[in-house]
Amino acid sequence: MDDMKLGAIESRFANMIWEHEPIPSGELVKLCADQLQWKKSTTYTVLRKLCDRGIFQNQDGVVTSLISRQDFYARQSEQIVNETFEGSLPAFVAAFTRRQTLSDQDIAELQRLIDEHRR
Amino acid sequence: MLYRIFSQVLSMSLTGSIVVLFVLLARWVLKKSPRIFSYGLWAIVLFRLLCPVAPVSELSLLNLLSDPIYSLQSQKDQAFQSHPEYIVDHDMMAQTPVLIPDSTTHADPLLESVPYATYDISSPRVNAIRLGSILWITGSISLLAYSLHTLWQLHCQLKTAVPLRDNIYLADYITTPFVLGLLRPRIYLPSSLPVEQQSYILLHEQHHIRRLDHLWKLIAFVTLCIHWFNPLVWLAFVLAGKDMEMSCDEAVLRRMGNRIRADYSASLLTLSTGHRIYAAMPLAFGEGDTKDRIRHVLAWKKPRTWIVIVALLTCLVLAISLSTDPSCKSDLFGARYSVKEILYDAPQYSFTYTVDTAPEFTITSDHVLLIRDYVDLKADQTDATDQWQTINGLYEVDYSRHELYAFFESLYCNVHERLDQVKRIYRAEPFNVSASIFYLVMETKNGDILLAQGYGREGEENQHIRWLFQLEQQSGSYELDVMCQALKETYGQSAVYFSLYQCDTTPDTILLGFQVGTGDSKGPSAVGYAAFHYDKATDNYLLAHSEVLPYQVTGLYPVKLTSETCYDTNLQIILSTREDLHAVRIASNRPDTKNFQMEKAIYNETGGPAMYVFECPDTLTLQTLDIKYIYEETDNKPLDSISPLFHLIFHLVPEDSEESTLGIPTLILKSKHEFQFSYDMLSSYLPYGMYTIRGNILTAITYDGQYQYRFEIINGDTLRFLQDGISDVSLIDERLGTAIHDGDLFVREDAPYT
Repeated sequence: MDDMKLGAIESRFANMIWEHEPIPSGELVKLCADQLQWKKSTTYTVLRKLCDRGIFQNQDGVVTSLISRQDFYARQSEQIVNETFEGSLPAFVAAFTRRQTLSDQDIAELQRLIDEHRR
Repeated sequence: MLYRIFSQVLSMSLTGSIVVLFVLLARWVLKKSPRIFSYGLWAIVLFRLLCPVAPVSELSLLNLLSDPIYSLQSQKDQAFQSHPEYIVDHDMMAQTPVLIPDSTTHADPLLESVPYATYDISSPRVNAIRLGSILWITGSISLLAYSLHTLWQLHCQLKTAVPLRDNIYLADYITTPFVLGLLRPRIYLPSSLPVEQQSYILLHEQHHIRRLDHLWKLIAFVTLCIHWFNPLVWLAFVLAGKDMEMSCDEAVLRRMGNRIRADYSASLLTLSTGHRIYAAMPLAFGEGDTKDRIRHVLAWKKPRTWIVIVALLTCLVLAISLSTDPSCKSDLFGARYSVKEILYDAPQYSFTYTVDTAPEFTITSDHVLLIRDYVDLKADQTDATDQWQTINGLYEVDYSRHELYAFFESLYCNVHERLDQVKRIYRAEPFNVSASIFYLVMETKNGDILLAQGYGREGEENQHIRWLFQLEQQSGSYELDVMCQALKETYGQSAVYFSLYQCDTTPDTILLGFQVGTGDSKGPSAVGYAAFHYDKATDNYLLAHSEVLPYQVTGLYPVKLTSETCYDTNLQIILSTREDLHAVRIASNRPDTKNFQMEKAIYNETGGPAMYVFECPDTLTLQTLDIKYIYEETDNKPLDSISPLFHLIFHLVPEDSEESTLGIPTLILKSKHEFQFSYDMLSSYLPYGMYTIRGNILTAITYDGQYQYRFEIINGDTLRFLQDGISDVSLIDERLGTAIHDGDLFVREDAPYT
């Protein structure tokens, strides 16, 4: 996983830290519970993950950033990560669509069909 | 248990596969109609794969197929007709060399009969099924475990999901929107999804929830886990998933109208492109559906009314014909029955049964009828036996209604109604030709089984029915078929059981008495017994121990089954091929267990071989048991008619019972009219010759022609010695032995108690 990529929700979490830093971790938990409806443990899990990536640090219960927001986005080549869940959906989940290996040719053909339809 | 479940699953899988094939055909026919119909058809498959019982209907499409159960039965019919093994051929028995031990060993001939073969095996077929069921459960559990693992992974991933509104959540790192949860399902959208595309996708997912698709998908997956070994079920799972999505797409289009088709397809395409998947996805191998779905969405039009009607009718017809079982399925054979109701009791007899005291019946899958009389364990019924008696093979008969009515003395309304319902009739007569008893087993149209017991011979005028019972199939019947199969695997196809015994002390043990070589032209070659033990793992009776002894026409075979060979039981088994053996009494001759005494009678109406089983105290062995054989009374039978078959021994009745029993004069009548007479232990001359019977006088002449002895036959058990000039029966030394005088009585050994 690229260290400098964040999911959309992780980005919201990161923004909260950048806005309020330095912030005591207890405050952060409350903030997350309020805005993201996360449990305490979820907050700490995500925080630890981002600390491990070297974006933030948690020292003596106070969270501060190691990289500023501007630096972070400057380094990020893409806006948002599309997909990184390295598992598969269990077979019993009703899903809108499944990711699959459409060939480039298939995609082009389908796109053309849709475009024709729009006209 | 596992074995039974597995065979049930196999049978459901087979039926399910046939239904899948029909649904595939229907799906192809219905491809132009809305997908909701083909989606609905999969419900039938689900039902057949999960539900072991189905309603019975004449309309069932499975009628058209050659029902495997049914064709198997007709094969057995043929096999049965070519089996003469249930009919005892008396001529054949007479020709067989008579293996009666001579008088010197007769004191204990029974101990001499050494078993010539013992087997201790479990049938390979049972083992294969046991292995199969273990493989099956392992596969199912692995598949479930794998899915639970991915579910757990997903659950961890979704912890950071943020609620958007209602039950809609946004989550990072997921690739596709989906519905998760049972009672309160949530819709998860990828956080990366552009907001403008959310609306269509949400409509789609909400429709899934409305239709409870998330639950159906789960049920379908559990079914897949059960039937994982069936490729058709995998195909059905994948196609059903596809139909589910497509019909859901259709529902959204119906609601939102045609105009959104392009945008909707674009959403589908956006979501399905992107990075390839890293991990292998064994559960999602068939998902080439985005392309089809996009084409389907773009081509979608509001369906025409008539197409909908035709599709609806097709589905209804298929649903009825595929979810029901054919009604002709016969399950008469291979079951054990008790009497549910006594429908008819011939008025001219005084004895009556009640439902509780009526006999039990077993009909094996090779069409043999067995009967077991009710035994009141408290009352001292020596006539009854707690063992199964083989009546004979059932053969199908074709009686007209009126022929059937004629069997009854007076017909009550309810009997009349029942007889009109009769669809098939089978008849059996006992082995013993002299017993003019017959049994009719009748199958009615509504599936009831009736059994009639009657008197009279086939084709005679005076046949009439004594009893008519309605039978009730009993659960937990013995796996007689499996046991018979095991016997045949061990001793060859000619091994046929004649008696079944279930131990009182260890109900998990079943003993079968059997004969080998019954159908052979040479006649039976061996008799034996086999002990079967209930095996929990396969839910079956497995052959634990068996033993065969060389066949003798009038053999008696006491065998001791001990804890070593037959765990938990200590059984004294006596096999008998003597037609006239009526009862066996055993008693302990040890001082400490002096009062141990048991008697068992076999009401051997069938006249075939019999097995007597005694459950003894552990301390008793063959050597410490006195076995007394009690024969049928032969009063009415002329001695002549039975003498060729049996070895009859007559002892002099001493005048003074105090006298020494040493050297009691004994007359032995052997087969082929041979005799042997011993009356003086000091004499080296052994009178040995032929005897003849004229009227009630038995004349025995020695081979050398020197002596002649005459007896008056009082009855089959008693002879009176007639002294005349020719025979010399004086003793060499009067002090040793017992003198014979004119008019002395000789009584047959083992004569019935007086």
